[in-house]
Formats: sequence, structure tokens, C-alpha cells
Amino acid sequence: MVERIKRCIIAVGSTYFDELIEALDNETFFTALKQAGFNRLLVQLGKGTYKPTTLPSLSSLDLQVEVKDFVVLDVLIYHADLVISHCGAGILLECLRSDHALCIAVVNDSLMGNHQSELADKLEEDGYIGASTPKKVLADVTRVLGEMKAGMKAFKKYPMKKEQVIVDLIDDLLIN
Amino acid sequence: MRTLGTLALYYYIIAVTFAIYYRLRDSGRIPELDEKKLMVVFGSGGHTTEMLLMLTKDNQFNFQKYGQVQFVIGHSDTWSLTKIKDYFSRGGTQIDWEKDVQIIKLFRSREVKQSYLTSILTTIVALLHSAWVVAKLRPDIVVTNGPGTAVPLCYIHFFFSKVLLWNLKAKILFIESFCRVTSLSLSGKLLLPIADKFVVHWNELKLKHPKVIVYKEKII
Repeated sequence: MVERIKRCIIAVGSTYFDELIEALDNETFFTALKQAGFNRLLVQLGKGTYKPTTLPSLSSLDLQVEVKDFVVLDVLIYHADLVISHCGAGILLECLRSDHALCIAVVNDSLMGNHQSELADKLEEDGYIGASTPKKVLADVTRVLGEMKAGMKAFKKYPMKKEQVIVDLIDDLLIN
Repeated sequence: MRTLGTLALYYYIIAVTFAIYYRLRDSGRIPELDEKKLMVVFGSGGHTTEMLLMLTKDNQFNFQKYGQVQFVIGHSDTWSLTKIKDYFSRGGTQIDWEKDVQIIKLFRSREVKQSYLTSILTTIVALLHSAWVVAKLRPDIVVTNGPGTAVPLCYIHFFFSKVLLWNLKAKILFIESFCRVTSLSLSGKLLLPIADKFVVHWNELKLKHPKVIVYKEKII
């Protein structure tokens, strides 16, 4: 029997988020991923200046590490098992709509006046994702990986979308 | 001043007469969608993605249903146009981008990093351009989820249709961005007074603004 490949993605989006990459560029994170059965790790750096060194040096056949500045994530997220991301609405939506990706959204404090932690906090409150900070992210990710290994469901499945709500509303407004 | 007042008076006598005439002519008749013009104002990045997700089912959208579909995008926003075309082609819809949909590239009032002084000039140009677009295309409904360009365009649409009485049945539908949980966006705050329907994603906003609509189900 062929085992399904398990994938983890760290994504910072179009800006930079060095604190997040730094917080996870270590053996603790790598080992936790490996123990939870992960085979691939993709790190997307954006415009960040911190280049991870520990993670690539640990890369092996069992758990291959790939580091890129920018990648088109939508299809990749659909096939991912764990996504550790910035709080952009786009990526969070893609995680919620993906088949099985668990998502941990990390608040980037260096982006001022940003409303996006509002969304991450709300989605965490409702139990659909985990929200974290660069300081807590290692502990939070390790905990979620432990739960995955134990076969526990860390987050709730996001409800299916009701189709055509807006189109029906438009049509209704047009004929009335 | 007096001549201006007289002119306005004449204008309204004619406009009201026409409005009453159309109202009487069309009373009791339910209009068809294929005689209506739908305008969607797309923003940049996240706004465009959200709008596409809400308007379509399996990346498809029925363009033929309406009399005319008008997509408004930013003048320099090639990203959104590519994204929109990509999105529909993934759904396998065969769209004739010349015939099925009217693409309007709207002059933007402010590009990133533009100076304050030149912004005043470009804002005036952008306003005039919006006015020209709305006057020429005469949409029956403007649908938007809050890019900055949509605000002046909606106000002009409101002014033409409701103040100058060109189309008393014209509508504005505003959908707040998915990432707004506890407070409205600036575009949302500005358009709340004139929007006919104002949709939000989270109940927190409904508690603050009773006029808005929130659905029990997820719409995105």
C-alpha cells in the first residue's frame, strides 16, 4: 500500500515575516513534523531577509525541505495537511475551503493597523483554525502535531458554503 | 442664481413627469433580468478573489441571464483582469471577452506613493471618469465589496439615479470584506447610507449596524 504524502507549508505571503521563520527554523519543529509522519515541508519566505539554515540542513528523503521566495499556493494548500501562515484573508479562506489542511495563523505584529488578526482571532474562537504569535508558535505547532499523531481532530471542519446567495440577492434587487 | 433655480425647476418638472409616466407604464409588470444591466466593481487582490468566490458556482457565472454585464477594474490593475479570466477559464465557461461582458478600466484616484498635490488633480480626473462611465453605461445595479474606487462611483450612480431621477429603481449592493469581523471598512462606512442592501459576513457587525444583512450560512 502506498502511503499518502503528508505536506506542511509555512507561508508568509507577499510581505515578510522573519520572526515566524526564525521561530520554526530549528530541530524541535523538524522532529515534531517527522514524528507526526510528514514527508514534505515547503517554506515560503516572501521578501524576508532571514534565510532558514537549520531546516534545510536536516532535510532528508523522509522529510524533504524546500525553501522558496514566492509560490502560487492555492493548489498546494488544497493538498496540504498543515499550513502555518500569516493572517491574510486569502490564504485563510483557501485553508478553510481545502480538503483537510489544518491551519495555524500567526499574527504579524510588525504590520501596523492591520485588521487581519481580527479574522484569525474570530476563526480561532469559532474553532476552525489555531491563532498564534511568533513567540508561541513553536509550542502551538508542536501541540497540534502531537494531536494529529494521536489521531485527534484539532479543529472543526468549516461549514459548506451556501451557493448563489449573492447572485440570488442581485436578481431579487433587479426585478423589485 | 435665479436662472439656475428656474432651470432646476424646469428640470424637475420634466424629470418627475417622466418618472410618473414610467411608473404608470410599468405598473403591475414584473421586469425580466435580460433587460437589466449589472455592474460589478472589482478591487485589487483580496477584494477580487472574494467577489469571484461569491458570484460563481464551480467557477461559473451566467453572463447570458442579464441584459448586460459590466466589470469595472482599476486602470493599472492587470493582476485582477488576469485573475478574473483565469478563474472563469478554470470553470470551463466559454466567455467571449468582447461580447459577453463589458470590461471598463477605471482611472484610479490615487496610485501608491503618489504625492498629495498630484492626487488632487488625479482625484478630479477619476471622478469625471466615473461620472462618464456611469452616465454612459447606466447600470441598474452596482455590486461591490469595497475597493476605494467604488465609493465615488457608487455616489455618482446614486446621484444620477435618485437625485436627478434617471432611474428610481437603480440599486447598490455592498458586500463587506470577509476579514471585517468587528468594524466596517472605510468604504463600508461611506456606502452604508446609500446602499440598498449591505451584506456582512459576521454577526458582530450586525449587532453594531442593524441595517446590514448577515446570513446564517457561509456565503464564501
